[in-house]
Amino acid sequence: MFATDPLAAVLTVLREAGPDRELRAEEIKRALVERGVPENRLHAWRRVQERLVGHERVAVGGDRYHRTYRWLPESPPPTPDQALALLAEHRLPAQRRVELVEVVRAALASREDASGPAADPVHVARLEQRERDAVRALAELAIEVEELVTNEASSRAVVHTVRSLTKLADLRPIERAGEMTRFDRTRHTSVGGRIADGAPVLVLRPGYIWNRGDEEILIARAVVQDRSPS
Amino acid sequence: MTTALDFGTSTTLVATADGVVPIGTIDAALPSIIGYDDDGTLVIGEQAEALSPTQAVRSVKRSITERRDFVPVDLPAGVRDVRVDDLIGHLLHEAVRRAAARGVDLTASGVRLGCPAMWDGRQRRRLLDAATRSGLPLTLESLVDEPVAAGIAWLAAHARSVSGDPSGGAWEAEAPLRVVVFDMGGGTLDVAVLDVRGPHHREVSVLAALGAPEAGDALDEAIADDLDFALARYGVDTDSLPRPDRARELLLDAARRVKIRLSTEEETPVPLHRDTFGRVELWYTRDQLNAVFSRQMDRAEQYVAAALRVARLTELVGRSAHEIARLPLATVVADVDLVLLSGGMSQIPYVAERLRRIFPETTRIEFAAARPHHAVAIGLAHTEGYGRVNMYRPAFDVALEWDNGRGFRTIYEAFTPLVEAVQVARGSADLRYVRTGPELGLPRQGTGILRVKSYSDTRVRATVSGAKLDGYTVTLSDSFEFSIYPNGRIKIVDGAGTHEGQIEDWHTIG
Repeated sequence: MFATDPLAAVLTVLREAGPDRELRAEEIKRALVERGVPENRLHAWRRVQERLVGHERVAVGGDRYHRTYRWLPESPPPTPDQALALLAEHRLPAQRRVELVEVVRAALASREDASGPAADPVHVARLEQRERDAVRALAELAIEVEELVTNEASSRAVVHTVRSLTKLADLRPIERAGEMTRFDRTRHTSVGGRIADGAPVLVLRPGYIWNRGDEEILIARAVVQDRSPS
Repeated sequence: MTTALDFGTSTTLVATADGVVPIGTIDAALPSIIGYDDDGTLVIGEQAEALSPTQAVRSVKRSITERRDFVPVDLPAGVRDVRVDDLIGHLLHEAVRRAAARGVDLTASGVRLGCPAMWDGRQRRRLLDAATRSGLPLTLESLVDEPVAAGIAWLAAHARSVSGDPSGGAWEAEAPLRVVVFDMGGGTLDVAVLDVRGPHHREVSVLAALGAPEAGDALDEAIADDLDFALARYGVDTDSLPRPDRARELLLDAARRVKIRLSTEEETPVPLHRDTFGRVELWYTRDQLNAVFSRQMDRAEQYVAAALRVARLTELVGRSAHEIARLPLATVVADVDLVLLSGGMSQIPYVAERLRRIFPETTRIEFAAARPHHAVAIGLAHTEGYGRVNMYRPAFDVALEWDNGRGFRTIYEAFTPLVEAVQVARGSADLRYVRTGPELGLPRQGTGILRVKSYSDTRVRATVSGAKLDGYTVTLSDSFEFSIYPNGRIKIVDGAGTHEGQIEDWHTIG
């Protein structure tokens, strides 16, 4: 079995050890040899080891050099929220990703069936229009900047135009590139090391805040560099 | 469910009560452009934007306003006159097709189509015929005056603050509202005066509606002229350039963009092409824009004043036209509660600034909808439950039958204006709609029966000498005369004498 499907063979070892027992790599290899796997075939373990990380039925513990593996009892499938969190936060094997995506997709589909709006073509058209409007706003910004640069407009004209267009998208700039200000960790991020609040800094790139109705969303902090006297 | 089709001069929109339904491939709107490509294929909307100016018809709706039946179009066989109504039918059919792809069936009942309040019956029927040929199940009742729709868009959005929640609104729950709709679009300015009343402010009447063929296009030209002068100060004489015509095109393009940018900015760089104008950096300010816009806004204010004066004619306690024409501006604007801004041009801050100067402080000036160019479509989709009466152009025919129905004349055709603004401006003494027996070619003796046919959702209740107007018997004579006054008074002179009446459904104004 190990020759044709080494992962399945290792999983069998873990399953038979039960959910209460953590096995180290040496213990798994020994169990495989006891089951007739020639020692010169155990080099496949390295590939299996990678696939055990993120496997839905295996808990990986210990540290990088002394990993342990434990069989997990069958658990209910992840909720859509859990599936989404796993997808967002972990590098998972392709098969596992497919399974989790299916959980999220099924949840979305059932919500559409139940409440209708997502399946409603008018609703879909409105969502698509919002997307088109956003992309078009970006394209218009690109068009204006390219035109200004081609016509050798001043930097004042370019910055003014960019800020006019971002204002239409309810974006408010944080600082202006090239100006000096005082470091504020809530609005600035350092290009290098830590900067003390209030320290003089040079603005390398501006940031933007999105005024979404009454809500203020920090889209990007201004990037600054420490200019404290050394 | 009410669905809305706003066939605008520049764009066509579809909406439901939840909002606009996107039918464009880029914007939510379908561009109201139609034409024929090089091999004679009909092209509509975004694709038609790419046609040469002679192959495409822009603003085809304006042809109805201007009563043109044909427009010249460059076809493979040469320039030919194409029937306007056919082009409109194709455009509307495309809107129907695209809406269907979005799950909105415009061929079902409950569709409302907007039209300018200043259109008469013949103009409305032209649009209606084109629409019905496109599969839209419409009648004249389905047409809604655009300023009424814009007003309803605002009323629907502010229903709570206006009438349901006294703490949120400036007005008492059921107090009548006098509303001015100022709709400035790409090509026309429309001003309408509305009276809004009834429980939850659901009865909307048009008291006056005037239109002028001057709006965005005129301002673009004025800004381009101003930019031309500004360039001259930098030593650039556009007339001396190798291609002055191309330079003018570029200035007009720059003018359009500057105009839009200055809606949100105090100043803006003018996009000028270096290859044509050299390396000149020109900035244009809102003050400069306001200066070139001021004359146009002077005229717009005169239209507002004229519309408000015409609206005064609906007061039951009548003043003479001479008196109304001489009323000071401060008097005619005094009772306006709300000014609603609609159309793309109304987003220029100077529009609200100028109107602010002529209206009292108590008058609210607001956009009819968050996106003013969507106001008509959104309002159309909310017309369910709103009573609508056009007192300026009543939506009913009055006909006279005689000889057991063998003789028949329409003596008032629906949507004919009862008075023209020019009559008020001139201080005409006799302000009414009037038709006489000789004008109508009526028999000089015998009897006739008046018939009333309504084209609105609101039934017409009108009486003469205590009897219903619909079915009223008149004695025909040489002196026969039928009059409707702007305040709803009816006067019939026949062989038996003079008979007074009143259209009772109209709001009692004054």
